[in-house]
Amino acid sequence: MRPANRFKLRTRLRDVAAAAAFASIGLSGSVPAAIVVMFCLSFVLSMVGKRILQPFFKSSAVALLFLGGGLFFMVFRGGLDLIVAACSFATLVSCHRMLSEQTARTDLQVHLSSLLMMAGGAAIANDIWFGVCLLVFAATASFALALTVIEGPVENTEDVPLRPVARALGFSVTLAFVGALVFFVFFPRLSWNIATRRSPEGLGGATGMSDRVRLGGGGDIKTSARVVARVRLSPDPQSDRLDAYWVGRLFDTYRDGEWLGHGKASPPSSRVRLAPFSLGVVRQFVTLLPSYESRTLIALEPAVWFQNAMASSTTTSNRAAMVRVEDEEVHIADNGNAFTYEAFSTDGAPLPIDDAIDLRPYRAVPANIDPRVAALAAQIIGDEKDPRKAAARLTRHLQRNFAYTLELPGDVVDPLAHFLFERKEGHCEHFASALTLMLRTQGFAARVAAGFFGGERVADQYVLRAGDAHAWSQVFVPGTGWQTFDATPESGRGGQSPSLLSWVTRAYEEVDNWWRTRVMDYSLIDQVSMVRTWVRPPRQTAAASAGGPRAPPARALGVAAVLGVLTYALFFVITRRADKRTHPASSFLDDLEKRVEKAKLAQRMGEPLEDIVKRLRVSQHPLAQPFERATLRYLEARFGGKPLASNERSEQLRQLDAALTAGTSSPTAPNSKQR
Amino acid sequence: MWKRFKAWFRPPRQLKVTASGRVYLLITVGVGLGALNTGNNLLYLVLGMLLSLIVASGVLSERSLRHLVVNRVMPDGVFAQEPFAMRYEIHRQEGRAFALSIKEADSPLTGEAWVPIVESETSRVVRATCTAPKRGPLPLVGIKITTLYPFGLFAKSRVIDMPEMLVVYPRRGFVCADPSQLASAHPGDGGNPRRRDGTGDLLGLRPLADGEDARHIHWLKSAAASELLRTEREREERRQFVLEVDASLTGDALDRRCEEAAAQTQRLLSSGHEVGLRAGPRRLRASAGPGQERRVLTALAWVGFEALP
Repeated sequence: MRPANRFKLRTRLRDVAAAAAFASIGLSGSVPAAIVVMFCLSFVLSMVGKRILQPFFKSSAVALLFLGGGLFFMVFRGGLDLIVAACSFATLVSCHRMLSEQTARTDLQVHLSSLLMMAGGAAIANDIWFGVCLLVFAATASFALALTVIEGPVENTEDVPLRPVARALGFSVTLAFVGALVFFVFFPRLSWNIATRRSPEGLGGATGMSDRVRLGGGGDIKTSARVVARVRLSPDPQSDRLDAYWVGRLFDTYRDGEWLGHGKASPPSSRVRLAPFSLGVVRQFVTLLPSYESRTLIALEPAVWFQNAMASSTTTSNRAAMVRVEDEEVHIADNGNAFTYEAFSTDGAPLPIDDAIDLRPYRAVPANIDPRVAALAAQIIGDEKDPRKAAARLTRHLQRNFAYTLELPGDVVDPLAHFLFERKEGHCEHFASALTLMLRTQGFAARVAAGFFGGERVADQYVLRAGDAHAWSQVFVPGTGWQTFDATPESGRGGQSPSLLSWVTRAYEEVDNWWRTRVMDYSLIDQVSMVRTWVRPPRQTAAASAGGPRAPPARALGVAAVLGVLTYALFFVITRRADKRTHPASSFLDDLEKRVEKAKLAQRMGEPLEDIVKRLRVSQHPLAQPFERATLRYLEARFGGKPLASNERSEQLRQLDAALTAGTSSPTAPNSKQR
Repeated sequence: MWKRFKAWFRPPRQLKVTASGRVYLLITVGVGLGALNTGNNLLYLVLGMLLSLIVASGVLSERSLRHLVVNRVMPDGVFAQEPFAMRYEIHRQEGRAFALSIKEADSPLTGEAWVPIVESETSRVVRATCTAPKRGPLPLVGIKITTLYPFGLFAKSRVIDMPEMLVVYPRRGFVCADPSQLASAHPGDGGNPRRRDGTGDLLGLRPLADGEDARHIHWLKSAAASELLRTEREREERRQFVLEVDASLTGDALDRRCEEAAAQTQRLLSSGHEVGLRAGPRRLRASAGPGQERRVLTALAWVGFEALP
């Protein structure tokens, strides 16, 4: 590759490496927007070859110092995290150097500041994209550095083939990744915990489990495939989709187009009991991810018990207290980036509730509600007094005569009336509100529940996506308790993301799940258990050992296979090297010397073939001519650059053998005469 | 014996951390401390990557330095403080080598040759523009091959033993004055063809050759011989000089005297004179021509270094 092209390639690779490093911190969402804009601009300008800071190098360097000072002043004022500030400053340095004159020195400075960004990204990022960024950064920066090194200290006008460089570097980067993995797996996880930092804010919430449901809002969240929670169930239902209701918050009051809750908070505690329960419950190990952006706990409906809550940051994980808000929600009392807890739910049966509870709030209808709502409800329900049947009639009516849509006109004066009498299409909140209020107009107690509907199996657990967010109704049935009715058509209950997007996000989720369990959560305990498995393998069960002849364990077979492959590789390498070192003509020499020995010519130590030929000629030995020919051919092949043809060697040896046979069979062989 | 002992303990490779390598190591230490402090797995991953790249760098640089055969092509004449071309033939038996710089090991010679790539089973000749700081015999012990490949973080060097002696002539300068010890004003050697082109006493006649100046024609003898004959006259200015270097001088004074003698030698020889040398135990008979210049310069280079083998 010519120097000009090498130069361009080097610049591009350097910029891509810097972009990968910046992405590792940018994706955490912690970097100020101004820095993001600045880097994007610098990247684009550098890629098109505009070095706008070249004429103002010194003044721009001074400006850079001031910007750095500003960043650290923000840290001092508490407006910015120290690591984020350091990463931002490294970004600014990279931008400055990318837009300055391009030399080997500035290239190195960009790489080193990018490396600082990468290190900072490790401290503030936590998803799999960091791994991708690290991979891209290592590969591109290594290649760019190698090109800089090959370019040398002086201007080099020589063409350099890049393929061997790429091959060697590919080997190097692969080696580095393998080494990094080995180090990662085996280096003991010991944490000093001398100084820890605040947890990052992340990219922001996806669900926003709010303290109110506003009907005028859009339904954009239903198209989001972002995972907000992971749940492991015990007993495991083993199904691909759960299609279950995960309740998070209950609302009893409808006012001015929005639902509110009016529960009373109890003191924080480590356990929350919602109802008495016995055996037969479903235990849920729930992880609320940072994208959940709420502290409201969710559980399968109906939930009865919460315990063992932990609030986690990127560095620590602490036990957290929970607060029960009566008939509204249970939430974590402490701050955190992500939360884990255990929840227990009965398997679908409504909880027994004292009939003496105050149901007035659940029957309350706003004074300004459109009178057509009550009229419609009365028309559908008729004189039905059973709340279950009444709710079922209304549900059927809504599902048959109303359509599900996420495209909404925006805020209207009375969203419920607009939904029921004008537009006749809406999303889950409209359906749930309509059902609940229509029941209330007829004197039935009902409320709106918000949470998730769904549960998609990934590995050994279920994930809930932001698009699974849902709202439905609960109707109070005397003697039974609160019973769920969902007026939303079935097609609109779960996530509404396109199938391709679902497939992609599912694949991503598989990888992300692997990343979290194998990388992010890898700990000293995993290391110890891994070593213990190797040192002291688990004993075989009695059932397995009771059988007849036992096959070797899979581990032994695997080790044997690996050893076999390694031995073969070693043998292959050694023989290849030996073949490389031995000249092809040398084996021909060995064959000639064997014939000499066979003919009993008594070759002296170190005697060259030419001298043997002379001796044979003097003694008029029958081997003289063919041996001389073979010797000449050997010398040509070995030192004259004329290799032996494929059949030439065997032909020469055949002639020698023929002469040898003739010589030994003849009783008047000259050699024997001479002797 | 001592050399063997030292060679036994000499590491096969020398490693030097470059400026960017120092920053890299600093960042590695910082990431390591951060990982140990926080227990953040991603920091461990980055730390593993940084350490592995150091190992990879070592492996690749070693692969670049192995299987190299280097030969030195010595220059004809080397003058002190004057750049000269030192050439190296570099050959790779197998595989490729990248980013090699070649220089003399443990030598005051400055300058190095640079090779971006050496292909397998291919010889390359590269040139280093070197400068020797002072005159005298300069023992060259070996050739140092250094590579910054692959990342420029470490400079790994390998020394190939190749003892040889480089004789550095005294620095070339200009001296206006004739040597004070104008040894003798004897006529020059009769066999020297240049002694007959002067303007002194008549030495003989010979036929005028094409293109020769007609003013040299001896018209009387030409008329008698019926052909154009020209005169040949002795060069009066051609003399023999024996330059003397006081063996008792030392250090800079000796170097200055040698430089002066070298400059006088060059000037006198180019003027057609014969120059000899007397420097301590060394004696050179007065003679002319480029061969004599080399002999005198070599003798001057060795003045003060007689003890060396």
